[in-house]
Amino acid sequence: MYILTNAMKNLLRNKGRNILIAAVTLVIIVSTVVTLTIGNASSKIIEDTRLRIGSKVNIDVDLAERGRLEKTGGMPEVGIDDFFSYAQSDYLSKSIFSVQLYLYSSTTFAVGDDSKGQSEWESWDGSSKSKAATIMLIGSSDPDILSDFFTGGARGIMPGGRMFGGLNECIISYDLAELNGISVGDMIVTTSIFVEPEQTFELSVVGVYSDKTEAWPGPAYEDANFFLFNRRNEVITSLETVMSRGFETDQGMEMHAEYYLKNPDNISKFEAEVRAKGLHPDYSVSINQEELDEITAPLSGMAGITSTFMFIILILGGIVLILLSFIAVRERKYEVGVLRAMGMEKAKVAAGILAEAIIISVICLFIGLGIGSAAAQPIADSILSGQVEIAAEETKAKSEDLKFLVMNGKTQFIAGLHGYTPISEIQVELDAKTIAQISMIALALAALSGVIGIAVITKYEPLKILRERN
Amino acid sequence: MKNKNFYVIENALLNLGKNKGRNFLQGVMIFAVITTTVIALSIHNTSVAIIGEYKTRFGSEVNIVPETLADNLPDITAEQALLYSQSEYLRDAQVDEVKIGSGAIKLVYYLKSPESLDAFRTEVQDKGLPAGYIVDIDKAGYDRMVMPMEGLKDISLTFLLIVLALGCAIMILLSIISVRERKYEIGVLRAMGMKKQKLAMGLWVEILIITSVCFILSLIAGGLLSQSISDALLAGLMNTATEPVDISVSPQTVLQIFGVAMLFASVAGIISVSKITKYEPIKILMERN
Amino acid sequence: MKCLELADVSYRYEGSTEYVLKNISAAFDSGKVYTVVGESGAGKSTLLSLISGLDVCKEGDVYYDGKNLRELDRDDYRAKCVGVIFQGYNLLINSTAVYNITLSMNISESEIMGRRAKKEAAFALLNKVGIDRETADRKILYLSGGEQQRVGIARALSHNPDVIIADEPTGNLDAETESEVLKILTRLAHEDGKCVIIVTHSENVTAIADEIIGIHAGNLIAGEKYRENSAFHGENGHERTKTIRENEQ
Repeated sequence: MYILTNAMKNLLRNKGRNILIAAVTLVIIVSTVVTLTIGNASSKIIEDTRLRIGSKVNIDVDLAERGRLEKTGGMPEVGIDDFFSYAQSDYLSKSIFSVQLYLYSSTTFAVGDDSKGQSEWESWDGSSKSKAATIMLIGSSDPDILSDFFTGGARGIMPGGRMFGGLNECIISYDLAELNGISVGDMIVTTSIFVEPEQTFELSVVGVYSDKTEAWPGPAYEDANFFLFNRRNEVITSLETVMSRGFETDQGMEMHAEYYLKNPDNISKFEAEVRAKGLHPDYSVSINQEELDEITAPLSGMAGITSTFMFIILILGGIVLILLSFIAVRERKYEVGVLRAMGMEKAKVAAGILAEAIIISVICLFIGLGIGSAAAQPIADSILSGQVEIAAEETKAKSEDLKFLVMNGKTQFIAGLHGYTPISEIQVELDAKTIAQISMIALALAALSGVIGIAVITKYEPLKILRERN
Repeated sequence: MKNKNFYVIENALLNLGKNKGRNFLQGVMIFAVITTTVIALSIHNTSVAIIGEYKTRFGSEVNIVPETLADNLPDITAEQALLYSQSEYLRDAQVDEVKIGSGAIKLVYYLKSPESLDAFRTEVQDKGLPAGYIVDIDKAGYDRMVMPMEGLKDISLTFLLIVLALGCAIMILLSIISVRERKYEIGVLRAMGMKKQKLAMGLWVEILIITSVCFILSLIAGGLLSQSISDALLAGLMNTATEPVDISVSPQTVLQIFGVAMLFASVAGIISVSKITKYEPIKILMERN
Repeated sequence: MKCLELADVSYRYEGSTEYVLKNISAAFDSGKVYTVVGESGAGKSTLLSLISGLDVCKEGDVYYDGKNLRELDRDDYRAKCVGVIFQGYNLLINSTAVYNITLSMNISESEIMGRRAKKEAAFALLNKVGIDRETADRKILYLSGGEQQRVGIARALSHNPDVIIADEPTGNLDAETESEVLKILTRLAHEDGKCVIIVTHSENVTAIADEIIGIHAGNLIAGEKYRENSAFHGENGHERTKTIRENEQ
């Protein structure tokens, strides 16, 4: 349409002023691009962190509160059934259980057991003796969350074997395998200790794992050669395998449960549910809000700063554009008067002005998107990378920090984090949503430039303009 | 004894009152310019201050650690540790012993200034530090803390420059517009024989008054804003909760902003002068007739 | 006494080769009323702008009181030596009549000191041209054309200049106001001894002139009385002139 070509010609006629307008528009768009991309990346990280850290439900005994209320005695008990019943919740995305059982085997000897299965344990009142447990059986509901087995972790399944899958499958450590001459495909026969009635576990070894973890939980265990707690003696199997023996109570075993919310915001609803199911009031139900905030605060702080920058540049840039178009309008009043006198409709004149503004905005949009997306990554890296590294380290630390509560001998909730792989870098990219937002802003800027011109010019009658001239 | 030029200022004041609407708009824009500059300046100053704080804290923490965990490395005795602590480069004679890993110990001293690291190292070596020990600051930790702040410092500087540029642009445009709008008035005064300089000064006084009023208002608004921004910055970014760095609108910042406001007003003034110098009253008045 | 003198003055606009004033030589004495006449575009306004110090001639010289205008400070000249009455009044619209006068006094560094004194003098001056105190305190915006013109005259007089230059002073006025204004102008010349130069189309105005100067296509036509030339006045003009002359005696 001739309006467009006319608009283009007009733009070229007054290069100086239009270059100024374009420059300001460009500055606004570039800073908007940078801010929005950084903001979106930060939000993603924050949301991701929130879901990973924030979704883990902590069910803890509030020891300080108990101390204050001077409660003594053992921790309130939670039964196996309770654990599983809490897991039946719409609010949870997943639940992870693991159970620890002490085993004895006369055929498979523990690493560090010089007596070869002949040790005995006395009951604390000395009234009875029993065979000492030699092997620690761990039943896990989800092998994927065993953090030791993550890439780069201290343990790894050695070639020729695999992770346990079906019923009665297990994996054992290399040390245990070598000591007893066990290879993949062999069976180990064990019986349970401390559990009534005694259960037999005949497990098929489907994998052998190399183990670089700290063998002993602490120097006291090492000094006393409490070989049961030597981690090389851990035999890992599935939760089903353990539960399939049909234990009625959790007498003699330790059960651990982790719950993950679909949405951390539902924590209070989940708490209400769990209390209704009978959770003892001494337990508190919470999510890692503090840790979450600690990690996300710097990120949102940064995002907040860049938004402030964008907002301010928008305001100032907007003012400059308004003033520029005000000046431009007055210069072109005569031209418009002539056009109108020639019979051009108001709407067409307005369209022409708007077209000029839009052309500038569109050109600046493309250039701005280019510059902005090129600049966004390095800028984001310089500001955010430090924060993300800190965030990654802290969450990694938290996931390794398995805070065990006071051992009540039976049941515990694990307070640490399992299964979290922290983000170690940010990818800043221009997605469709961001491009849409920026395009809107570019259009708004065009509208701003154009509207002033249109408003002033359409107000005047051509006669008046021409008369003023003469 | 009234100066014969006093009427110029009186005229300026009266003019401000005669065009309240337009002057209010101008004032709003100038207020926005100064306030945003205040904010930009605070953020920049805060980040610079935080970096300085980090530097003194982390940059001055010197560790003496064994280079490798070799068994045959002689220990550093308590007397030696004490000897090293008697150094002019150190803030005080405080030495911390921190266990690291497998039973090894690292000694931590606190320098007065990070620059004296090399000097201190030489001194300690001269005092008989066994070979195999490294004397260094926790570079990794320092970098980790400081890098994001450095990034912020650079970005906030860029931002500040953009804000100043836009602010100047606004002041220039405002001057151009207001001089143009008052072309007739300027023509009349020039026809009456008023000197160009006096005219320009009158316009400049008007802008100066508006800018000063905005400056005071901006200080209040910007001061409030920048305090909360600084707090948010510090809370969010300083993971290590140590003594809070107090960046209120310090006298130095006020001075900087005042300078900026004066800069803006002067820019406006210069533009007015140059525009007026170009005007010939006859053209203005003849255009009218 | 020769107040103003033009010696071989020529003028052309920037970027134009055409001269709008060509070799004008003329002299203006104090105590006389001069009218400058000519058709549109002849160069009257240009001449006016030259003698009022609003512009500088390209060639030739303009002398005021024997001094070359090129060597004088033109701003000071406009402020102190001449008073210009414009066709479009050219007053500060948003200010009061009084303020327009006092501002002019300040610009011309009037000897009257003190704001109060200046204001009183302004009121007095305005009164002389027929603007009462109440009207004087109103903004120019609210005054009629005639009132505005009179304020313009008062302003031109406010620094007691030797030369009064008027550009079509009666163009927008009704007959009564016109004769009032012409009376004032004549009095200024004949009673106060000023040199009054009026650029005009109007016959009524030329009727009061002591000397008529014609400009045609940039050239000076005559420096003498035109009274007898019928092209410049008709029957009525003749009589009016007579009436004014009679009143003066």
